[in-house]
Amino acid sequence: MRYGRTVRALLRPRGPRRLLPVALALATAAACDVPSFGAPDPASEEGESIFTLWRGFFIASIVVALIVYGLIVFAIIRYRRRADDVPDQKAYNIPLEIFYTATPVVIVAALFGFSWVTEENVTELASEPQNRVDVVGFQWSWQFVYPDEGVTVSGEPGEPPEMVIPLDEVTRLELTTTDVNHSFWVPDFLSKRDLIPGVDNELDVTPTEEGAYVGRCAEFCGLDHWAMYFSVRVVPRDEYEAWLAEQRADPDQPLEQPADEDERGTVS
Amino acid sequence: MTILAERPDVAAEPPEPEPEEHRARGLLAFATTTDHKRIGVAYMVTAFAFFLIGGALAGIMRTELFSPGNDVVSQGRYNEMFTMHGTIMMFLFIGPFAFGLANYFVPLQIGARDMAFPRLNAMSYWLYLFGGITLLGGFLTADGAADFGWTGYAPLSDIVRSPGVGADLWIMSIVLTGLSGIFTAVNVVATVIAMRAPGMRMFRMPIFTWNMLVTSVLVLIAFPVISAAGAMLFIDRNLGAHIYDADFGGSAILWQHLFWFMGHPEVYIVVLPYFGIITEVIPVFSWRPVFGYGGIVFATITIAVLSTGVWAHHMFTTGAVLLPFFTASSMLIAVPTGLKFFNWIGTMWGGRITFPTPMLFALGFLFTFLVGGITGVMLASAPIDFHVHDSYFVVAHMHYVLFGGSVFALYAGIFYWFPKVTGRVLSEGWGKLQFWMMLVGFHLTFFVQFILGLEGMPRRVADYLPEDGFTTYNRISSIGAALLGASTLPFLWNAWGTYRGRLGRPAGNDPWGAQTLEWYTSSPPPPHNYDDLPPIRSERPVWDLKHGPTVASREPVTSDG
Amino acid sequence: MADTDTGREPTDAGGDPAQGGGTEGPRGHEAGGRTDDAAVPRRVFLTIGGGLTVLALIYGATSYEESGIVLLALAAVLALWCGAYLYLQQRPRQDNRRGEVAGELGGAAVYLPHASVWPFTIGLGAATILNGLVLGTWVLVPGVGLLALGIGGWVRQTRNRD
Repeated sequence: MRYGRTVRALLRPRGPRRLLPVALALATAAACDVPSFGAPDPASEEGESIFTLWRGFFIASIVVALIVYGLIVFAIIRYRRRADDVPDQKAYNIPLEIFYTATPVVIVAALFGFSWVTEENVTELASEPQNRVDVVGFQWSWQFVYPDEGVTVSGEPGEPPEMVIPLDEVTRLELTTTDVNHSFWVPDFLSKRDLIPGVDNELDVTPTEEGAYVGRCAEFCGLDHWAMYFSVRVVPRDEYEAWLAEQRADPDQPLEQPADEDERGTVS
Repeated sequence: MTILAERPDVAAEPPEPEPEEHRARGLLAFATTTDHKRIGVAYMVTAFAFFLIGGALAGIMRTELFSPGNDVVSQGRYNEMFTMHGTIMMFLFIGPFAFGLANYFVPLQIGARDMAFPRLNAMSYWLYLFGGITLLGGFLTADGAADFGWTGYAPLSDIVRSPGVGADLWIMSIVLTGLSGIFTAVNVVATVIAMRAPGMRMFRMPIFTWNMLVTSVLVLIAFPVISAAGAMLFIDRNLGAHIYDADFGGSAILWQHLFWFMGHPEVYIVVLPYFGIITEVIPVFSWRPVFGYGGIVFATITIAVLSTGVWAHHMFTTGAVLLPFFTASSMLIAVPTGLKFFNWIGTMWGGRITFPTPMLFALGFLFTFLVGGITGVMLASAPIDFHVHDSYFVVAHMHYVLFGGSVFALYAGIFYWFPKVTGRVLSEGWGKLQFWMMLVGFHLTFFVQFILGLEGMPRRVADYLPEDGFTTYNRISSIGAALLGASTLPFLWNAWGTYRGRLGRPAGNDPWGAQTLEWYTSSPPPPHNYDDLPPIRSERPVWDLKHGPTVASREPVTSDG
Repeated sequence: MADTDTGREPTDAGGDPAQGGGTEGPRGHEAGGRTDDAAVPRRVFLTIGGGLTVLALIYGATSYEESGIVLLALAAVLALWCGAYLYLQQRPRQDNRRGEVAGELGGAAVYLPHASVWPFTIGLGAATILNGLVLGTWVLVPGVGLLALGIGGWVRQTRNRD
């Protein structure tokens, strides 16, 4: 059978065809000289886990795309109409069809396996997080409550609040809202979690790099959704303690949660 | 038209035409037609008009996002725009256009005179048209149209946060268009089961018809759910219920489950018919049969089953769904889709390929949809989705599959079937111009959006800040969008000019050298579709007529064959 | 890539029907009639229903969420129901199973009404009613009238086999 010869030729390349896998690898590496593969440099442990997974998917996708595009381009060049004869009308090839059904299943199974491991990893909640911040989302800003520290940071539309957390420690985020859906997204941590009325979500963040990271709301929540910025600043433990002390001493510190729903949700 | 004699052993004669004085004219004729061909054309023209409206909204949005700082429209209006853009495109354009094609071509492809329920067919169209008008009516109300995204998440869509009546009109339009779709689905299923010509066995039907059958089953599964969910939202808003209200023991996330249980099959409803078109076009311009016909049917049914079990991959970040189940099912659904890809390649393989406009659009589809599909597998992975959910990465993915997929295939279908409907072939020159403008414009617009999403730009944002660093890619995207929008102009000129006889060329019965049954009859077909039928011994009766039986006969050809 | 290429037919190599091996396939779409064609539609529904049942069972066993299991179960019931109906409605087919004969049009004995204003009326009536629920009684009442008119007309037309 003709196809058998083709398959064998691909599996045991002679001559220049032996270099094909190497060329492919080099091409891929060259194409990805942007080391981030498009994604931000992860600034947290969970982010690093997700980034590794993303990189694997990205490479796998390039390979698959090159193969499929290669086949299509080959076909439209090689089998362009040059003569008027009727071509072979063979309309099925069971072994081949089984092959290209089973192979994607194997690939998908592998991708699933890696995804599941990463997912367990990043959704795992530490038994004793070192810090805790209650994130309250509302139309259209955020409030960060440090229940164990007696500190609250509130934002307003146009004045994004800043959450300060210590480096290399697990901070538990408790995400709640009482109005509409929001989503807490720090792109540099490569992760987000939604705030949904009636659902109390928890997220652990273990930052690994100092810096200030922008945060955005990632679930459409109305008029000023786009402006619901916040930031997360990661500092060493001692600076964190200092900041906490500063916040506690701050006379502008609100003594209670912001007012009830009547005051929130007004059009700005 | 009079009814045929009720003796099935008598070969059908064309029915007597209605007497001249009883035939309605003009608008009345249109309002009372039950002819599947006229209804099909009505669907397609109406859907295309909605496409232009939805596209105009997109143009305004891309203009707004060209630079940081609101200039073009207010935030509130912007939110209405992306809501209506999505709702119009999904419910009023891409699905109904496919139903229009199905209306026209399913009966023709199976050798039937009409759909099984012609009046139901007409009613579906009117429900759709009035549903669309209801939706657009929102723009005319004091508080404007619905503005909570086409996904309408509760509690943002409740009466407190969205008090305007535009939201209720949105709900009603979904109920109307949902009803329309359900009735059409019933019609398609009944037609395929009961109206096939002798010899047209199920496994000899064209793949387009098979895909419409499976699409119809998905519609029956999905649309009632959104109608119910919408009704529940309506009574929450207007009758004091608290179904989606977490403060009173309801569940906001229930809306998401219900919506996406419809929403995910919906995206397959709007893509399977277009896979069917590609499977019609590629064999014709390769001079080969469909490769792996059985595999494609099996794959389509598998896609339908799986698509019902993946809905919560839109909810990965809610923290309230079983992540591995949905990652697994969502990744698995790439397998039958990949199978179709390989079967399309297998159809071209060893063929004699030419590249008139329908084939160009089919190839554009292959190249573009692949990216959409691959990024879909990425999104199926929950941890990756944690980063890119609700970002422009998703916007890019969805447009790659919906526009790069369905719309490219839609144009392939238009260019392929326009001659059959009108008797004239569209101009190749204008078609090619449109294709290249669309291809370049599309990729310019949407490829950079993958990067924007990865870098942290959320979706549904009326604006962004200069310091976000999103400006350059947004500008590229907006320029691409202008080109993409402009690519519609050669098409409109082509369609009008060809229809009027100034462009294109006359088509005979079979201008492409095609394979399936509809190419046997005249272009356009007579009111009763066929004056006679060729022998139907395979899935390509017209090819067989020209080139001899496709099937290596293992049994004697019957004497009256 | 001349445009005149389209529509040209390939030149046959002697019209040998065995050339190319035909389009017979494992799914039984050969003319030999090995598969029971009348069973295929119900098998489509039953396969979909069966698949949905499997999904529902797996989901029910593994997830902790109620709405999904209900939705999947209902979807499975819908598909199985349609398949069961088709099974129970088996009747001898009128057309020849082998059916290579150039024959009559599909659905020759089916009643296919010609022009009718009732679909428009019902469509408009339904839309008016739903808009009336939003806009007020003054819209709702005419809608109900239209719908009643349309349904009446439709039924009458069917009775008269018009």
